[in-house]
Amino acid sequence: MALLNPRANKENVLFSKAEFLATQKIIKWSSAENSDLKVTVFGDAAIATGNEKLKGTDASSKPLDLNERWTDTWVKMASGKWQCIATHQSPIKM
Amino acid sequence: MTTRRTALVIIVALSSLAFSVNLHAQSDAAQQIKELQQQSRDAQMKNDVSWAQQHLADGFVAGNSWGDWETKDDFINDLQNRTNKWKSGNISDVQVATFGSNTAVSHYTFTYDAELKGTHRARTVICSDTWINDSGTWKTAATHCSMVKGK
Repeated sequence: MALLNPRANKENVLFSKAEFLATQKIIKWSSAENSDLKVTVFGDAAIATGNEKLKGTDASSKPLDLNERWTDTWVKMASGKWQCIATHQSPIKM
Repeated sequence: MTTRRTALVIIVALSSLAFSVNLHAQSDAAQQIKELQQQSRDAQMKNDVSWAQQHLADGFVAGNSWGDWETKDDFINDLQNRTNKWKSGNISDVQVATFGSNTAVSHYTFTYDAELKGTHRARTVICSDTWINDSGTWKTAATHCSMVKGK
């Protein structure tokens, strides 16, 4: 899995699965709302897109109030389970 | 005992061969997608609609760096819009990861200077593209770019 998110770290915006999970442990989310969720299936792959509003605090307890759009790529594994292999998030209204 | 040992050696050899063939196939796919990624940008610079028709999957979605979502039709309409003019465009740092034989994701940096829909945009964006293998032809199912520098 890979994550691209320019808000997270401008020097190194591409995260591995382990790095992504580590950031999720640091940030404390208080709310998350998805909207305009769309999914298109291409055989054993699928693309999901949407917008999200996130609120929480970062590692230094600084408030986070984010309005982002995202694209996720999912793949159906041999076991039949769908797994997210990549996500790209970016701020809305740049 | 000798028969068992021979069978074991054959199984190990075949497994190694299959693993090697699989690695080779994934490496080929990654290289092919890197080349297609460059072709994709070249086609965009030239407003080449035919390339986009062939290599954008039906159901394609693009999230551009100024916050719009576009369908395949929207993307092609933009290519046909003669007021959109590209002065320069370079991609770099292309990385490709394959997942099985039919899906791949590429990440890259795109720096461009263009007049798009009446707005001058000179910026560097980071992008993620999803590629799917449609009966032997790699097509882009999605692209999403975010601005990291510029206007």
